[in-house]
Amino acid sequence: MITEELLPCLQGIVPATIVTTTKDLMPNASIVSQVFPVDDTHVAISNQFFSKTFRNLQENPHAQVQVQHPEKFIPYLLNLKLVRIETSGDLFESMEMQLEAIASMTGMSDVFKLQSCYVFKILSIEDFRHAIEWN
Amino acid sequence: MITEELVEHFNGPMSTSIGTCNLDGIPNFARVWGVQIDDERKKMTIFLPEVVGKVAIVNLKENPKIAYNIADMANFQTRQYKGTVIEIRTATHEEFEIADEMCKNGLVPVGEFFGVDQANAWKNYIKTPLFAITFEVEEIYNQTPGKFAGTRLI
Repeated sequence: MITEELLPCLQGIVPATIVTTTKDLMPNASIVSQVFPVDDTHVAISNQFFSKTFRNLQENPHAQVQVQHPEKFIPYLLNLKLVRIETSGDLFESMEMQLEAIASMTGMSDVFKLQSCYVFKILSIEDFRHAIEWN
Repeated sequence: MITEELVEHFNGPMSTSIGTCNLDGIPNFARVWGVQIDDERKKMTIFLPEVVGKVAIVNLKENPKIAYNIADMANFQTRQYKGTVIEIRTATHEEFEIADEMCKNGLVPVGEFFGVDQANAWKNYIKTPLFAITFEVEEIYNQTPGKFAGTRLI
């Protein structure tokens, strides 16, 4: 499901935005530093601040994330469902390393500290290249 | 409710989006452009292109709760406004100009961070037909990365 075209969107170059919701249907939109490819059908999102996003996901595992191609700028929407949370291991270490690189690029080295990785199954992907008029 | 300090935040090169959800709790993201605040500073009107907003409009008709995220691309200062939608209508020509102005304000940082091609894509986001969505602000949060992220401001 994660195509070659989508992979550059998951390098943390263009910030992504995640939308989640409480069980009583109040949405929350938040910028996330990292949407990391786990395998062909899963991505992981870094939790640095124990924010509302991650509290919502305890109540409702559904999320939608916009990622953007860093060169072509094509937006994609990933429809996701939370499957597990990791706080150590290979995935955690890989994400921690990428997060350090992102923090260094954006001057956030003192701010970003990975707390946990939220692993999601990709339910579907929507390509929004039609939202941009291409010359 | 929306203080002078918060109003000043709207003047930079901004990236803005909304979150909505349907009655089954399935969330939706949509990029929006431009913002207007009423004289009493209790309501906001934002502008949603139909090309990215069809699901959001359907969601808002069944569940009027909305989250509006506004991030300054120059300094990462970010706020989130939450509230209840009270009106959805077609945007006027003047409102289209407000939406387009926000887009143009983002051209320099997008070009500097990502490149000329990306700035061209940013400029060419399709904005018509354009919906105007007005909501009553009920909660405001700090979302700037750091230890105060998630703090309720109002």
